[in-house]
Amino acid sequence: MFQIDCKSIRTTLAEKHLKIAKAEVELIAKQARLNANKIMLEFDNKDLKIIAVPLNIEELSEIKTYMSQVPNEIEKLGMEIKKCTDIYDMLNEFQYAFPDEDDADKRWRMFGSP
Amino acid sequence: MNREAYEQGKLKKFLTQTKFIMQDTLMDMTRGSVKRYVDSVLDFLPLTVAVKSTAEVTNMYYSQEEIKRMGADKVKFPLFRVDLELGDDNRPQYSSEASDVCSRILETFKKGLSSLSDITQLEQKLLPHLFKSSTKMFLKVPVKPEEMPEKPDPENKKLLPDENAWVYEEFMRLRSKIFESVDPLADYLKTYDQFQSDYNLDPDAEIAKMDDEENPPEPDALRRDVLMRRQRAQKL
Repeated sequence: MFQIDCKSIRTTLAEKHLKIAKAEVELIAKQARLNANKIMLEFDNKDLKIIAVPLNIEELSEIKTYMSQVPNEIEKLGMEIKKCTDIYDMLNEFQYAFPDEDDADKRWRMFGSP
Repeated sequence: MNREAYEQGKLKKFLTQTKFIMQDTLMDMTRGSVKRYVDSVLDFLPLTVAVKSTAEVTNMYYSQEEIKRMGADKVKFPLFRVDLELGDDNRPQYSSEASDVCSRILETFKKGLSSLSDITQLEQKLLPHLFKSSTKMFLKVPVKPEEMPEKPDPENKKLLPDENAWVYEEFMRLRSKIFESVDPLADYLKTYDQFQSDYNLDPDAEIAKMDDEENPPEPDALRRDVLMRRQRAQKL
């Protein structure tokens, strides 16, 4: 005698999960952005230290010592870059589109930073 | 014609006879109509309902003998469609209460009978000057008694059975069957208990819990959860 339409309840429940999933993807994107910013800031700081004009011999020596440590530090940052690239790959998997194009480009700028 | 002449004349006898014929006809038509209404509603009620899961409910409308006789099972269409939705208390509920649907069917039964009760007698229609219009004279029609009329003592031949007992019997036949037929709706609702965790899920609270600046969740864990939730949504 009765026909029961379950579409409404199933849609409501599915929407709950999809809402959480969407927020989780946003969280992943947020982490990707933060990590990329952090890494790029590290490179910018290194650049600033290297291109700084030495005022005396001590400063020049300090820069030289710093420059000798840079390859090691870049190697460490390379691992960070790899981790961050993996996060961007996850976002690609979810076909996430950054609202700001600059955030999407950041991946490649970070990748090219070393 | 004055009242006295009418009382003595043949016109009164003729109109009285006409009244009886009309009442008899009404009685026959009502009896047939009530039976057809009850039978047609009951025809949509399955003999048995087996609720197996959320997606599998089997209604048996015919016995094996009937199917053999007919050659094949006839397809029945539903009389009512109700939505299953999530209530404010985060519990599944029907958009219309089954008891409301039953009440509506019974109301239609009562309404049909009550609409017969205001058929004016011919005498009052044809001779308005003899019968005051303020006092309406209606034809006697079947009515539904409030309770089952008592059967007369078979020993006492002077007592006749109540002429409306059949209306009450038909009403009760309809009432008992349709209220029986809504029981499986509660069983079906129980099959949705398996989604209890989904009902309790509060997306905003879950998101707030994850969005912790101090201790952000691992992207890999988030990825796994996204995939799991998408799969769950797909399944639902």
